Amino acid sequence: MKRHLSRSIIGLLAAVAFAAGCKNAADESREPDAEAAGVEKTSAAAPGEASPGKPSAPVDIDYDIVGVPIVGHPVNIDLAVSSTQGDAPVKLTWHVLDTGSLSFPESQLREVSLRVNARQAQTRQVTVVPQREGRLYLNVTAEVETADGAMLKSMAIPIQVGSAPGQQQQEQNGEVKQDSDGETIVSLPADEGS
Amino acid sequence: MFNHSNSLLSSLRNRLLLPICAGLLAACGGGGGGGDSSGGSGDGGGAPDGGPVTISGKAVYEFAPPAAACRGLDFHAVQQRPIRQATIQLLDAATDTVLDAGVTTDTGDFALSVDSGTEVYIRVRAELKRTGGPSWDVEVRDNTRSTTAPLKQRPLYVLDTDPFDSGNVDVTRDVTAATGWNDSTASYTGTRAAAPFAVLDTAYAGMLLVLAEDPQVTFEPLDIFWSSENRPSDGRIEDGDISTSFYSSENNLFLLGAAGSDADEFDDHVVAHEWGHYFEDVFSRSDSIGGAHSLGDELDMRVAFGEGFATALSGMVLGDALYCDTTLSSGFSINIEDEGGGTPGWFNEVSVMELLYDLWDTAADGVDSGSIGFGPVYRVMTGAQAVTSAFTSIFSFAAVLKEENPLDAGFINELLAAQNIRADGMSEFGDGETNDGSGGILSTTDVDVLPVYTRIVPDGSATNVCSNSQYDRDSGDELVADGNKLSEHRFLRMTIDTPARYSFQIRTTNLGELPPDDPQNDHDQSDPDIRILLNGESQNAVVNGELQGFSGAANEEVFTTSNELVAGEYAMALVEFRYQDEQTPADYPARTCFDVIVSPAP
Repeated sequence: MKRHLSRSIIGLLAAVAFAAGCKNAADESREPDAEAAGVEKTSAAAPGEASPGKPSAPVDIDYDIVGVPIVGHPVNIDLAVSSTQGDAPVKLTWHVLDTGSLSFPESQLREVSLRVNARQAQTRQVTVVPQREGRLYLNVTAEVETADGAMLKSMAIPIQVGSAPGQQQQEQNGEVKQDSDGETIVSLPADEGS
Repeated sequence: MFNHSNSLLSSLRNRLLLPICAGLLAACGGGGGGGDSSGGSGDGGGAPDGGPVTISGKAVYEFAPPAAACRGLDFHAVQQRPIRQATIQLLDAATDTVLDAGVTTDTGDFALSVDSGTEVYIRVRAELKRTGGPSWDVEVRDNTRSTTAPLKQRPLYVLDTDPFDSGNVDVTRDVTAATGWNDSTASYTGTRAAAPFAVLDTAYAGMLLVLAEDPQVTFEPLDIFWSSENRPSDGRIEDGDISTSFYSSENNLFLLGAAGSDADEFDDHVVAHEWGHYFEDVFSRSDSIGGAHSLGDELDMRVAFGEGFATALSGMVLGDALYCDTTLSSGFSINIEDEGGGTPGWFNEVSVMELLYDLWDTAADGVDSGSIGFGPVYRVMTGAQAVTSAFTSIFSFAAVLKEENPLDAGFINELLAAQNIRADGMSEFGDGETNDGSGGILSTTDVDVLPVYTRIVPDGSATNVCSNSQYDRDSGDELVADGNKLSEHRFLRMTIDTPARYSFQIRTTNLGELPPDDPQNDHDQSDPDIRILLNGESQNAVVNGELQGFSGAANEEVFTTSNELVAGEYAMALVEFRYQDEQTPADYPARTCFDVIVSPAP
């Protein structure tokens, strides 16, 4: 279950390229396990055009969900933070946007300051209590001081509780309709007047 | 494209604000012409009873600027910005039929006509459409709804007014896409209508930069996917779990929108950065391999150029060197002109960013005493950079920039020198470069950085080259396995004079340093991979379903090209795949060396 953000981005990009139809051979996804095909080692597909995503703080956030999340039962999440900024302090905060999905025990801290040696991860454990089934999110932000000021990285940790599908949208942003040509649109209300 | 059901209205087309001329586009920000925009809603006058009436006004969106030091957004300073060049329609309220349509001007003005006494509403589509010269096709869609449809058919955002009676006199009605922000709760409680139009407008700002240099340009279609559900989380795009804002091939740009986590619609530098990747992809060429990166990292030069270029371009597009990336209450900034960070050089995205921005901007700072503007940058990117026989990097860019702008060579050289990039005798292959990324700390004899390209002679002779993960390790010397750091990919060049099929033999030479070969472990032996380019075109053929050069064979990569390699200058990237492999064992060496032998096939 342990995931690494940076690797997930690469995987996502590969998945997007694959799903969208490969532009060229370089976009091919990673080959299947080579040993099964009588070759000992796995290998990479050739790299292709890829945006690794927007610039972000020199911080990595890894996480590990300990155990199987169950409604009403505390579940621990190990957060591992690493930074390339020497031993600069990293401020780690976490919150839940949808308070009907996850709650914190009363004793749970909401932020912590870590001293992270260059790229050596520090781990903190956060406890949440799932309030319902579905794909729920714990929002985590790591902020680090650099020579040129603070930088941060945010991520939303998905916590799958039970087998219910993805999180229901909290507020539908606009109304999905079909226009007179049959095209699907999201209608957003305009403010009018002066 | 538009349904002009009322032929009577066709006679009034000259009153509509059809796409403006390229010259006007280049001027930007001007009046845009047309549009009886008297400000605010209200009756105009002059239309005869029973005849057509004109409904005019201004379409704007609310833009929340960054707070001081980019620490969140400042909703007390919300600006009203014009929705520029968007499709605007007048629809029959009963049937949703389009009665008239046009395009907003660069000031957001519009004028549409309809029969008097008709129940209608106004729709602004989050799209930019234009045919002819120039032409473009940009759409903003929601990737998280109607998810059974293909990605490019997901719902398009539109802004709709309430229905109203067209009356019997000309009328002015302004429309606004609001942020949905509620000051009293300090949260979004309304529909976030402004977001898709803010994103669209930043894309248009990028287009204006290009149009100023190339007024007849054709932009490839671009789909931008924004959703209030797009969050920095691993998972499926359908669920909004897009990890981060990014551009992907197939001309798709994904943007974060989850306000409680990270939303980018008002972070216009972020949007422009990703639009820069679109520009590089469709107008130029990027050999970037992507992967994790942070400011100041010693990166693969292809990644460093792609990222540095995109950030610099965001500053050019917006005319602002302060790059902000905010959350609701926090954020950070990058000073595109003078960020510092890491060891300066050809492998550092900050160096590339500052160099490119300094070439463009007119503000004097340090050695940045001049400006060449965007034109020369555009011409190199769309010209030589797109077909360079080298990999795309600061070398392939700057060498040609100097060549094409000899009068500015001194200025360019000074900026290069300021980033510790060798300017004298610069070639697209980085000949003569002496910066090994060590900052003088490491020995120059074993860092496997220089020369930037190692020449391979295709005569059967062996050349030993090493892939080194030295910049991809944590403080405990454990492999991070980003796979995109300096010296992991080693660059080779080769001149082919005689067209023929060629045999490649790449064999690992430090076998004694590898872990013992466990037959149950797929990841404990060396796996060299090689990419081969000729003027940007991949020469790695697919044979029996396998991409040549990327097999899983242990400790070697041996193949014969299926087709003749034509005469030319080839660029190759050789890498130890174990340095991209998260399952590489801890005792795998940080450095792996190979003999590279290329010879005509018998």
